[in-house]
Amino acid sequence: MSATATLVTPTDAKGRPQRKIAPGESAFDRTRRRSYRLFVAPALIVFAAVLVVPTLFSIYTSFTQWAGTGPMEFVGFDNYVRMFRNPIFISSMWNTFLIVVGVGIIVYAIAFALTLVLQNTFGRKAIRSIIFFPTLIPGIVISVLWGFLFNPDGLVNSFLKTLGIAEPPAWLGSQLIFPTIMLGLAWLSVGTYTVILLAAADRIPKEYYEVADLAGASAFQRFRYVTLPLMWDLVSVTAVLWCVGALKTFEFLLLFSSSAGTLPSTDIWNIAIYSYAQAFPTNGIAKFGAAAACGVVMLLLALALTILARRVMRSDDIEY
Amino acid sequence: MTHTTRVLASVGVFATAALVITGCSTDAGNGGGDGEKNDTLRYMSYWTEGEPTSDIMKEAFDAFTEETGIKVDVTWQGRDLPNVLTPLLTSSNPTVDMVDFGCAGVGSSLVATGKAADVSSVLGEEVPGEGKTVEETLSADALATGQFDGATYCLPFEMTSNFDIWYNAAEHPDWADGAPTTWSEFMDLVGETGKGSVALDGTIQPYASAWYINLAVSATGKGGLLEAAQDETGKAFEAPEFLAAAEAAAELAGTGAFADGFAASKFPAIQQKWANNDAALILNGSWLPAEVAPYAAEGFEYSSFPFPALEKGDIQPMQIDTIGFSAIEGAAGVDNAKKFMAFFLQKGYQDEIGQIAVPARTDATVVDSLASVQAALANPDVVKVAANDGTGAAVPAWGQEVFDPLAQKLVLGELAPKDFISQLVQKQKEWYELQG
Repeated sequence: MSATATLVTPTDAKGRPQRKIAPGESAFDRTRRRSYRLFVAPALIVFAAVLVVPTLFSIYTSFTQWAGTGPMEFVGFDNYVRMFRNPIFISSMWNTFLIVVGVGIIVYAIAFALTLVLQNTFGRKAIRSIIFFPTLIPGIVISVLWGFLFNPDGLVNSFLKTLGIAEPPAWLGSQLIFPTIMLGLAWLSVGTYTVILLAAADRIPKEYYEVADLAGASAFQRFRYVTLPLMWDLVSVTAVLWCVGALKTFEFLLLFSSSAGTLPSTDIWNIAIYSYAQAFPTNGIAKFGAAAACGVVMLLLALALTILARRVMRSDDIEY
Repeated sequence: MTHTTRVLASVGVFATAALVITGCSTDAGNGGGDGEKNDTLRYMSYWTEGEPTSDIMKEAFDAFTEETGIKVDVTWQGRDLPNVLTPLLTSSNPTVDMVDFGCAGVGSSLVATGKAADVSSVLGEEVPGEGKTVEETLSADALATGQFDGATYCLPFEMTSNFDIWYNAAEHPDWADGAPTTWSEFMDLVGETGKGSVALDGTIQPYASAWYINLAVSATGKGGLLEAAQDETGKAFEAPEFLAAAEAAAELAGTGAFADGFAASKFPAIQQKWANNDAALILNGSWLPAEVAPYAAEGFEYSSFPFPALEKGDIQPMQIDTIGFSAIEGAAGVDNAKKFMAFFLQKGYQDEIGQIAVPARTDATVVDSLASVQAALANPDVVKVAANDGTGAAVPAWGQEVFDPLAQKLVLGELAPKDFISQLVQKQKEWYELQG
């Protein structure tokens, strides 16, 4: 597109600037260049209607008190002030942080370890399918299965008892339920991230590993100095995906720790559950203003985490 | 992009957005305009299609249409009805005429937002073919749950008794006549049946906190807990009755009364233990027999007795909740809704409801597994109180955000009674400050 570098701006008879025309550009080229707008417009309209407008509406709603029906009363920053003074919101933020960072570390540690192990393992395609399997299971099934595993009489404790542990942990008790949930979330996600990382690792030319072998590198050194740098871009992208996805964790928490008609204990709420509880309380009037304020905070957090993850994991492009 | 194209694109974007936003509030073509005969009842149900109650309703819809010519346009929305309903009510011309829902929930949502129509006039209507008015046929206790500020906004057709003590009458036939009426008698019975004889899915907060709620209501009387919950300083909970109730509640975990796993099980694991005779007693609602039937031990005979009084002279509380019909304020088919309400309270339909739940009519027959509940409802010595003593409707979110987490810890033995009271007082004060 070097022609665009020498654009001239012609003027009309009154000296007003006219459309920029690239020298040598035919009418057909011009029409073709403009025609993309026609194709982009429908998508742009739908995007604006279902995403941009509702987002702007949510931001506006966050400054109001609204029950979802009846008048909207403008209350300024009141919803935000109340939210940040509410200890339940603060503990929800902390739980969200634990999921994003704590579970994230677990997921990446296991995914890297599995990538390291599986990269040259015989039958890795089959193993890859097996570890990806939890991702395919609906949340409701996972919830039932997890309860079955971690019930006091469940498989995990039965196994621990066979090892001689007479008083196995109360996994679903108030002390351990959140760590158990974190474990469940990690289990659900490890497969996906391992498969993505393995796919990136598979694209690395074999020659690099041969050179590493000749230099006497250990398996870990091969991973550290060959695999990791060459798939760092993908790790960076998946880190952003993880942050945004983990921030919005909802289904597993709700299904795992509540029953029909009830919400989970406030001790294990994250900000997504907090927002849901404001919009759809078990009793009482919906607080859509408060729910929207929480949604705006989630949006800002997602933006901040995305920028942070991209900056922290920024590296020079490596071509191979 | 020319100026004209830009303008058209902008108009397109905003027109589409406007359509999306207002899409929910367009009139669905009810044909209910001025001077036009409205022969449709648009009904959104708390049930999903295929549930036993929905089958009874379908039968009633057909008969209603045949008799009145009013066609019922039903949406089987299920339990997320409130979430779906709210956006539909933003229009001044609602697209739903009638819903069925928990009456307490109607009070705290539809009534509070002015979206429930006053259906008090139905009380004086005759139940078709029976020569009795709606008010004469309904249980007064059930009816009261749908009345707010002196008007009726929810007309109940089904009741639940939320927290009575359930047992297997085949295993303990003598308990029906010798049921404990005081807490000390109850603890004696628990002691006789041995450690681990009380089933509790303690990870479900309302199940755990129900023990304390019943004890506190017993000690303070009907409305006592509600009054304390409305005290913005929280100090009302420093009354000795609340501490005595807390000490009684703590006895259960303290004496090893609960079945193993009570504090860390996935619902309904412990309820299943009870249904398999691995625990003798459980505090639960009138929905229990239907819920455990698929996995209960063979020959299980469901029976219950009312919650005992904390001390002799205190009340034996029975928390009742109802599901009923509400009409939507401003909807075109409110009159049709009122006609259906009276129609559905015919004894035939109530008898059918009695095969799956407790009917709102006192004279309806019920299935054997609910006979003990119906007997307790008719017993004047048992004091009927609203679910959670009415706190759910009057102080929404208080249970979830203040009371339940602490009461759960108390009952599970994770919080001492005195600490429970002091933390409740403090937390309640802070909560009210936050509400502004």
